Amino acid sequence: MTGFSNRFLIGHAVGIAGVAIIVAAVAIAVFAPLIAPVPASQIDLHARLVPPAFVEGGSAKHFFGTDNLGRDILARLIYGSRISLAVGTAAALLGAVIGSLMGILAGYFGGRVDAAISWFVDVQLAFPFTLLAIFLLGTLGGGFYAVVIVLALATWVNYARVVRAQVLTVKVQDYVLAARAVGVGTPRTLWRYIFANSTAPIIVVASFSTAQAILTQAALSFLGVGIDPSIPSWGAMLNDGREYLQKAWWIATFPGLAIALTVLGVNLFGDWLRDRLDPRSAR
Amino acid sequence: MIDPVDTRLPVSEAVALKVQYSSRRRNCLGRLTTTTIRAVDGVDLTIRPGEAVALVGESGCGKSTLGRALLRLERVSEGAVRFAGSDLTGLSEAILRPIRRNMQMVFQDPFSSLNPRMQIGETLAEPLLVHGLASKAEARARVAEILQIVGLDPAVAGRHPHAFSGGQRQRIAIARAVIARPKFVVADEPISALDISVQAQILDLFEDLKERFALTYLFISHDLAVVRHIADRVAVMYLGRIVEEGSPESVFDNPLHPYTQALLAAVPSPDPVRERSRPNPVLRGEPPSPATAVTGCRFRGRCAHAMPVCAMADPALARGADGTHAVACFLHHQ
Repeated sequence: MTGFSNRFLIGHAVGIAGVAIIVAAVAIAVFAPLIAPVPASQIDLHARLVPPAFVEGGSAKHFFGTDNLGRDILARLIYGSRISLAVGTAAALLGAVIGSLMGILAGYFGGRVDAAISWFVDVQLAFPFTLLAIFLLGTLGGGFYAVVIVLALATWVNYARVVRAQVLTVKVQDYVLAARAVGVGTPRTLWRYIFANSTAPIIVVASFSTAQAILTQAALSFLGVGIDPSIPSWGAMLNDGREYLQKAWWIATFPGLAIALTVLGVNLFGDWLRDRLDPRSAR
Repeated sequence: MIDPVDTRLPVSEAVALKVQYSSRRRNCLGRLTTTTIRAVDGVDLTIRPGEAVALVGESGCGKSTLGRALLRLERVSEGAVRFAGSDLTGLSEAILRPIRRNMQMVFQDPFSSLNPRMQIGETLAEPLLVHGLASKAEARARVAEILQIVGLDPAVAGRHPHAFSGGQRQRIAIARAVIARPKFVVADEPISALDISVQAQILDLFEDLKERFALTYLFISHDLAVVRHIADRVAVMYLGRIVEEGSPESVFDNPLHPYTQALLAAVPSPDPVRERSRPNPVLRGEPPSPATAVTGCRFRGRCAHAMPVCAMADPALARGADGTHAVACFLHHQ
């Protein structure tokens, strides 16, 4: 009994930690202008590549140091959270909606529907994503919404595959046949029976797709087809800092840590949410 | 085949019913071969209002498939399925849906037949709500009422299935099957997944509900003692075909088909003297696979009385002089 409740409380604590990280990240993004010590794009060529305050030669003026143009890393991290979080969440959610829907349709109806959807998934997996992204962003033009749509297109296949596999095991359960015997219609069966019992893998995929989206957004900015690279984002900072890794490790390290921490928060929250949504686990 | 004495419309009826599954696969030489499983292979069965018909037979004989086909949960390959006089054979799911409120099913495994993500109150209200038989408030009252009838506390409606034991879950599944007052219920081995101590309670519940709601049901089982206890009529199934049919007294006390005789002989006796003298093994061999086509009588490979005629012709189910006890065996055909 105590083991049971301890596990429950630990699970709770982990979930709260995840929520805390996410809330903190969102708060930082929302209140960026109030928190940031200096504007993110303020260039100070006299203070290029200044190390962080807690390292020898560092300055208290730039807590996480500066980059090759003398821009404050802390300020850029704070402002960068806006694009990174917005793109990551929006792309993961849009991908989840499209991918889950496609996975459910493919798994449940099978036959030609499955063949058509699986064909799309296979083609997309076989096709180099960067090429597709450059093509789409070249045609759509860059900007936030275009990037979100392209990233959703990158992640929906992940959802579609795992959801389809899950639906294949769920749809042969007796309770789905029981729903048919009762006379439940197809839309309700898909929603209350099939989807409701396929959520666990969706949450797992969502937590890593968010990270994937944040990183891919950076790669697109780097290639010059995504969001304007002068707008700070964690991914773009990671790319900028790469060539200075030997001389100034802090440029790439702090945005990397920010991404890792955010992804950790999303994962912890996702795990906790999955357990909470499962009526079989502790309430 | 309808008994001339009973002119009421049968509730459920199978006419020369066949349910087959085909699977195409490549053999070791890469050739495409089609295997046809004849799960139900020509069954005539009539279930009249108020009757409890038991369907018995060993695993894999097609009794579950027959039960599901009567509810049109299976695609019919040949023959016909009727419900209360109307032909269900070729109907689409959309047309069947409103009919489904009148025919329900109880599944064997109560651990997989209830949606784990729905509260049992929602599960039980569903038949009423999807058929527009009650408002949400009325449905709540009906759920409380049916929970009481099946012996559960109405306060448990807000719980999920995981909170219940197997016996309780089966009560819930039965409640779902009867809440919309169906005319016909197929119970597919509803007690075989349960503890012995719980089985009797569930059987009593079936008896009680049959009286209360004037239910007609098909009770699929492989437990002959149970069948004797609850059935008005027994049909014995072997390899997709009904081989003997009649009242429980006539079938159990005077089994005509060698297969029925073997099944009855396989029932252990509580009397140690009789138990010791029971022939063992009573039935040699396995039933042939339903994927292979059989000529002649399908039981002849395992039958102690096989005759030359059994290899040449397939015996039809024919009624004896009393007009109720029917058997498909040349030993009894004149």
